[in-house]
Order: sequence, then C-alpha cells, then structure tokens
Amino acid sequence: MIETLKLEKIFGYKQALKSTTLNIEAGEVVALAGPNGAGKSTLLRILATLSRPTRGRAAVNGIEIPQGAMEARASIGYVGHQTLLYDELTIAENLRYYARLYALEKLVPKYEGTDARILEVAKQVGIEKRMDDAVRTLSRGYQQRVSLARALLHRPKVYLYDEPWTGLDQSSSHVLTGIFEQARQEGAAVLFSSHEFERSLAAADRALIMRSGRIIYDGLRQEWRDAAGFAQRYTEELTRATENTKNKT
Amino acid sequence: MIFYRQLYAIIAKELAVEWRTKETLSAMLVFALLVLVIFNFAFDLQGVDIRVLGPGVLWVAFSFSGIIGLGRSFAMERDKGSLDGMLLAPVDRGAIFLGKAFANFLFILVMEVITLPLFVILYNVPLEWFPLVGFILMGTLGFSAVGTLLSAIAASTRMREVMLPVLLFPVLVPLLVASVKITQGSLQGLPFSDFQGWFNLLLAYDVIFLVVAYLVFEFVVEE
Amino acid sequence: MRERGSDTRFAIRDTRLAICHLPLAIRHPPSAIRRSFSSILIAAVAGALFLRTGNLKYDRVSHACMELGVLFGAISLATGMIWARPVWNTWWTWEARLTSFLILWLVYVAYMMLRMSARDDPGVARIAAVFTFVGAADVPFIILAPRLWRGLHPVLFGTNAGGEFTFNMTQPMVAALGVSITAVMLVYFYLLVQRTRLAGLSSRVAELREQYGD
Repeated sequence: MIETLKLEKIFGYKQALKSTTLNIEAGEVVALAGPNGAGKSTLLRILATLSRPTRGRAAVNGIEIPQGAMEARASIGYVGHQTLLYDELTIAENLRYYARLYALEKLVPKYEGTDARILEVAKQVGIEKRMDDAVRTLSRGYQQRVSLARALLHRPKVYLYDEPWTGLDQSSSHVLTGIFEQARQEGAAVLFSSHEFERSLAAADRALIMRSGRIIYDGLRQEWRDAAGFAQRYTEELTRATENTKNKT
Repeated sequence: MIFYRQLYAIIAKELAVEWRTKETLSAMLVFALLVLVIFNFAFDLQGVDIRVLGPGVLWVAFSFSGIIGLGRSFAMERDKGSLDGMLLAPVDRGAIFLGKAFANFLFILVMEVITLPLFVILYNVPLEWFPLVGFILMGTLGFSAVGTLLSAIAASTRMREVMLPVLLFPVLVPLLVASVKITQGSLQGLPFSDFQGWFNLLLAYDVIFLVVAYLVFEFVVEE
Repeated sequence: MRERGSDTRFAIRDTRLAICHLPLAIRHPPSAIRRSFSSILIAAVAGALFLRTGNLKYDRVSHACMELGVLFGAISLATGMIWARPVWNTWWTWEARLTSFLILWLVYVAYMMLRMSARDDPGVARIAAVFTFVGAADVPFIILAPRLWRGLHPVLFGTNAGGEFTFNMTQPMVAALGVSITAVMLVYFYLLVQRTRLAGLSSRVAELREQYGD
C-alpha cells in the first residue's frame, strides 16, 4: 500500500531524508519512531503529497506520487501536528466542508447520504454530542478527535498520522487504537509517527526507527520490545551527544 | 462538476468564517473611513474640484483597506495549518485560488459598497451611480486576482504583513492609475470614448492577471 | 502643457555632444532601459525553467537577472537625473518613460525584498519564480499606463505621436549609440554570467559547510 524507493528530500543544503526504501502492506499498522528531527514528519508529508521528494520514487495505494498526487489524495487520510480545522466554525461545519472537498457524495451510496457518514465518523471518535460547538471552545484533546474524524470521512486506504497522540488524554487514546484496529480489518495500511516509543510500539505490528534521515531499524511485532529498548537507549545517547556539542559551543 | 462543488465549499467556508468573526471586514471598513478623513485634512479638499481629486482619494482608500483583507486571507490559513487541509484533499489548485480570490473580491466589494456612499456624503460628490459601479467592479476584480496570489506569496515569507504591500503596490500601479482615470472620467461626465483607452487597459489587466494567477498559483502553495 | 515631441528632440539635440559619455549613454533609453525591461523577461524564462526542472541553476540565473535589474535601474535613474538637471532643468520629471522605469525598478526592488525575507528558506526559489511571472506580465501595463497618463499614444522611442521616425541623428551619433548599446549589453551578460557563477559557488560552500561542519 505504501512503497518508497530511495526516497530523498533536501531542504536547501540540509538532507532531511536519505535514501529511504520501505514497503508497507495492506492491513499493517506500522509505528515510525525516532527522536525529533529524524525525518519522520518529512517522510509522512511526502507520502501525504504535501511535499515533493527531491529524488527517488514513492507510491501510495498503487499510485505513483507526486505524478498521480491528485488521484492518490482521495485515498490518503493524514493527521498532522496541527488540527487543520477552522476555529470559528462548528464541528459539523468543519466536517461538512471537508466532506465537500473530498467529494464525499460520490463515495457514499445515495441512500446513506453525506450527513449520515459524518455522523457515523463522529460517533466513531466520540464527538457526536458536541457537533454544534465551535472548534475554538473545545479542549486540545477534543480537537484532535475532530481532526481524526476529518481524516476518516472519505474512507482512506492509507492512514498517515503524524504524532497522533498529541493532546490526546488517556481516556481518548482508545479512540486511536480503535481506528487502527478497524484499519487492520478493512485492509488499510497505517503509518504513524511518535517519539514516545513504549506507547506507540504497543499499538503497532511493526516498527520503523529513524535516525537523522535514515531508517535504521525495521522490525516485526515479535521483536518490537527489543527495538523499543534499542531506540530508547539510542535517544538517550543522542540527547547526551547534542547537549555535549551545545556545551562546547 | 466536482470542481464547482469544491469551489462552492471553499467560498462558503470563507464566508462562514468571516460571518462568525466579522474581523476582517470591520477592520477594512474602519481603515477606509480613516483614509477618507485623513485625506480631507491632508489636502484640504474644500474648494477644489472634487471630481478631479476625489477618485484618487477613493482608490487609495479602496486599495489600502483592501490590502488589510488580502493580507489576512492566507496568513490565517498558514497559522492554523488549514491550508494543508485544502492541499491534502483532491482539489484542483485552481479551485483553491478561485475560491479564495472570489471571497476576497466579495469582502473588498462589501467594503467599497459602504465606503462609496460615505465618500459621496463626506465630500459632497455629485455622482452618476450606474456606470461607475461597473468600473469599480472591474478594478476590484483585477485587484483581488493579483492580491490573492501575492497574499499567498507573502504569507509564506517571514515578514508577511510588510511583504504584501511591498510586493503588491508596484504591480498594482497600472490598475490603480487606470481605475482613478476611469472614475475621474465617469465623475466628470466625460463621454466613454475619452477614457476608453484606460478601460481597455483595465480589461486586459483583469484578464491577464486572472489567467496568470490561476495558472501559477499551485507553485506558490505546494512545497 | 508642453509639446512632448519637441521635448524629446530638444533633449536629443543636447545630448549629441555628450552621447559618447558612458553614463549618459547608459541612461539612453534604447540601451539601459530596454535592458532593464528585458531583464525581468529573462528572469521569468529562467524562473519557468526552474519550476519545470527543479534545477537550482535556473533559479540562480533568475535571481541574478533581477539583481542586475536593480543595479542597472539604479544607475539609469541616477544618471538620468544628472542628465535631466541641465537638459530639462529639473532633477525629476514625471515623463512617461521615466515613470515606467521607476515603477519597474520598484518591481525589481520588491523582488529583492522577497528574497531577503526568506534568506535560507529553500521554498523561496519557487515563490520568487512566480513573482517574476507576475512582474513580467505587468511589463506591458507598466509601459502603457504612464504613456496613456501623459496623454500620449503608446509609441516606441524614436517615433513621434504620429508614428513617424523623428530620430534625426548624425552618423557619429548613431555609431556612438551603437557602441554604447553593445557595450552595455556585453557588460550586462558578463555580469549575469559572473553573478550566476558566484551564486553557484556560494551555495556549494554552504552545502559543504552543512556536510562537514564549519
């Protein structure tokens, strides 16, 4: 569902992504771990067609990007650092706006209707009781739920979630695990990033660990605990190293 | 078909956000009124032929206050990241441009519709409404087209509030001169043929910049 | 209102003695001004090539063109003023060509401001290219508007309102003008090449610095 071949991204003189090759099958839930600045967001943004790769190839749901970006977008559900919502509008208005942008009326059967689909998604993430409240009045965790609903509306085949736990409290993190479970069953592919190894790896089947623009670990579920330990050690080391250089200068 | 539905969605969203806050419009209106008042003192417009100097005052008010609205148009989207929301969806980038430009056109128009009577009252301008409104519409169209594109450019720089006027005004000079000249001609009751050259120039400006902005917009918003 | 046609002829007559003088020749419309107008067109073409290929080399060419636009523009405006002082008895006159020229120069300056406001942001190359398109699309209007404003028909330099050729220069004048046009053009392209090369080198230095540390 997600394939990349020697994908590279250069910002100015800084290489944010170095020759990244990976392959994620349908039904897989993959965690992308690594310290801040490792290139996780860059990779996710390229896959979400928000950013163009400098070199290399990538395909999402079998569609080559960025060439087929317009087509690929319909099957991508992306959740980023920001909620991508309009504060002044209500939850219902926000979701209806995105439903129109994704031409939901073409995707949903006539008898069901777009409003029914919006309500269904709202129930899935547990926001259906506050549909007419302005987003600005909601807590960060609640806004994150709306953001998740936004990314589910058009029944994506590929879920790309950048730090989806941001702002989610303990009681709402089950929403996320629920979404991942459903994606597994529907045969969608999930790639999500997190800098919290324990929490994220527990939700995944497979773990990728990134470090300064490269994937340095690609392991299966059976070994993820080791991977987590490794990554944890690695981060600590890296933090120490950065602090040392900072002290020097 | 989908193109128009998405276009409609974007325009409806713009209007809904503005309707909730009314921030942009009220700022634009207050600013336009201030320009009218300040010009009166700066140039002591009593006694001069207002039909000659008035159009300049009017278009300075329109363009200065229009820039306030244009500046917020993309700055707001960048701050909230909601521009990414549009870019993520399978929406033609042209539709995003047209939606934004049309919404800006409407906001500037509302400001002008309120400012114009104020101008007439404050400066005692004898006015023939009908053709003038059409000319103002035309000037506003080109203004919103270039303004929307340059607002998107300015919003992706660091000094966005400063950058928009710096980028926009040099490009806008021909449109402003044409609009002022046409408004002058119209206020003085000159025959259309006297300012037809300006009219043609304005028309060409509108067409060329709508097309250019529509075509190049995707390079501004996409990374 | 002054008769514009005679104005130009008067100006030309007085320049005759001074036309070999380089700064004044630079000010002379056919060379420097036209160079400045075409500079933005070259910049736009290079910008289009950059957007199409993603090759930063074209961005550097485009940037250099706009920079030279500012430079040549400033020189022309300055020498123009110096020249206008004795000839027209004023530092500045809102004559059509000068006005066009000033507006265009402001477009070049706006471009430099745009580049400056995003020093290290790599995305700036893209939006800067788009700005050169806007500027290039504006060129015909920038030329036309001040001419209409001065109540002139849009004519090219060297023809009067009726479209007749009024450029009665003597043979040495034509030669001097030809030499100065060619010289300015050569200087322009020489600077363009060197400036592009310099930009390429400095970006290479920054790249190496990023790789190996300072």
